[in-house]
Amino acid sequence: MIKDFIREDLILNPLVADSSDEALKIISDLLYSKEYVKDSFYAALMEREKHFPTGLLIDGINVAIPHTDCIHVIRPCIGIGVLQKPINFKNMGNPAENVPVDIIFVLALNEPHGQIELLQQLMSLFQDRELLESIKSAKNSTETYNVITSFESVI
Amino acid sequence: MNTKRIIVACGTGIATSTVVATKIEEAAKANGINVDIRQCKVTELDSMAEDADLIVTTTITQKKYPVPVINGLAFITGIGADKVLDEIIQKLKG
Repeated sequence: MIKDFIREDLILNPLVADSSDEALKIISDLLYSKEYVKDSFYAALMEREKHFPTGLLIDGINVAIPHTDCIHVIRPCIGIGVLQKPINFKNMGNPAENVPVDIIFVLALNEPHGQIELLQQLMSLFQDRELLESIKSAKNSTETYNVITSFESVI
Repeated sequence: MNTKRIIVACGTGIATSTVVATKIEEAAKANGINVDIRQCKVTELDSMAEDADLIVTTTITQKKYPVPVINGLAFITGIGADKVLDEIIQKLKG
């Protein structure tokens, strides 16, 4: 399932950015250039992130899962950024707290509640410390892609 | 047993609340509890909370609601998920 939403050309490794805004702009532009999202996606993503941040503290390797309403999405996909150095997002569970994020998964979903299997797989991926470590230490986008798609066979 | 109505809320009402709702539904079923689970955005909670038995959110809610509010972020990170699930089941049984 995850494999259906992940494409090598939608993975940025390394992603070099100084702020969460910049990182999300780079990923959004990529998704827009390949016609996965509408031009309204980035602004909507930022607006949502401001009010309801998506940083997740996961035992040392932290992730963020920015996403927004379906109306901004053309074709569903997950855009991934493996950050060269961690950048701060706010914590989903406590918006006053910074989370230094290592890996960003931008979820471009176009069905309100229909992508549950994908989401569940993603959450179980987050709970696999070794896998997150491999994604983080992958040297380039191809390697990241191979690591994530190999995970599918485990589930 | 009466059906318990649970509202699961997150920022957009599409991603993390879907994962949490599914977890609760599975656990309730396993415990023989009938549940009616609805998902919404946190901003929609005011209108949804009224006839609910329990609210579970993945973000912090500033407001007070007349029903118990449980933080379900553990279902996303996996850290402490079993404990939170127990808490939810206890609340539903109570």
